[in-house]
Amino acid sequence: MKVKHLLKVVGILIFTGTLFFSCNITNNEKSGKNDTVDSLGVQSDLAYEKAKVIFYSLPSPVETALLLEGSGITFNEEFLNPASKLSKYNTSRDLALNMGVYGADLSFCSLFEQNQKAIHYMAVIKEISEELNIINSINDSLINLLQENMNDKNKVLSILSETFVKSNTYLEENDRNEIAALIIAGGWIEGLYISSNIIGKDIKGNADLVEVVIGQGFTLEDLLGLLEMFIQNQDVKIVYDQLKQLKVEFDLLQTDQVTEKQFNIFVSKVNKVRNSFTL
Amino acid sequence: MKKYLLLFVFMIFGFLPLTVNAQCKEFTENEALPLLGDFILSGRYNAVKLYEGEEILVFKTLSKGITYRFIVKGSSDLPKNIEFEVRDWNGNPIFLNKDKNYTSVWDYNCDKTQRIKVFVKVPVVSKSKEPQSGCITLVTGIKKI
Repeated sequence: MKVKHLLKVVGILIFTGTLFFSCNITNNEKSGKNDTVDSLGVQSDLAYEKAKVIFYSLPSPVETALLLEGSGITFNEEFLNPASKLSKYNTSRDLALNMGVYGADLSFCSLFEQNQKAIHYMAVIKEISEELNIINSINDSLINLLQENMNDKNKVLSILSETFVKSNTYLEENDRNEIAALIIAGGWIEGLYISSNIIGKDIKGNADLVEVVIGQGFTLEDLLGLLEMFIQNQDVKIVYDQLKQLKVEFDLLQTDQVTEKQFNIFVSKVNKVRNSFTL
Repeated sequence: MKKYLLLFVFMIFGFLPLTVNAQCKEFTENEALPLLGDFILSGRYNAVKLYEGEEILVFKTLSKGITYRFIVKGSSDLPKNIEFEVRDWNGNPIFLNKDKNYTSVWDYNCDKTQRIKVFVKVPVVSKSKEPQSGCITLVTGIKKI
């Protein structure tokens, strides 16, 4: 009799769990319902209703760093977040955001073959990943692998990119999407911070880089979409609100001729948000 | 007894969503990542279990000066001809793999920064009441042009 009762209870629990899972999917569908696109093969404006899952595919910090390659810029440590600030980060939000920030710094160091600095940042990221309980993705063997391949920049960037993706996947598998989203947000703001500050006052001389920076406005829309999915989490909400303000600044840059004054105001807003993340 | 058998079946299927991620992650690592070649993995694995007739939608921003490799793979329990289509933000088609013999790999040299939408759809082929299901994965790789 007890077994029968237990089976019933387990059945009800599973049923409830399944419903909850389905609700999440339905919510995802609804999030983009107002937009209109054609679905696959069929002329329809109900693609979002048909899509089972909607993903926001955000670039890893490596991709943002890659955009700076060939733009003629030089390595400048001044724009990186010092590893010594690690002790300031005690909450999950600060740790997650700065795991992303340090990830972007690490990618930037690797791009310019600043190998020792890169290893140093990887050690910091390993420490944060332990604090956040992200198991197995960042360990001593990974650091050894990086050291062994330090002379092959592409290999290093490839290892880093896989590491970011694996950490992200681990968090998602363990239902810690909020932390994953915050890491992505941290990486994105640091990439934007580095690229916009590197331009300095020479807007005309760095026209390609200015274009890269303005292009980040599109990525911000994807990022806001991702964060919106977890907006019920207070940490995500705080970050979302800050980044949403930057969207307004990006919209102001959507002109044919960005003036130095406009760009400087934009950079100061970026710096303000980034510095609030890095404390 | 029949009631408990049904309950047991329900339990098994009820747990399925919880195990999907790990299953599809392994599938992605074994079947999709090797197709990256010299491209660097970008973003995340977009891997999920789908049934026939279902589709996923991925929002992505492409950056000027980067070559992107899109890899779409479906597990062996799904129909072979997985459809994927890339459209710009206004809905204009950029690529449809149906036109390329349902290729699972597509490289794109991006000449302007833009937001895109990627649709991946599992076609309906089985005539039985039980639709086939399996893992679908979309992986993106990047390379400087």
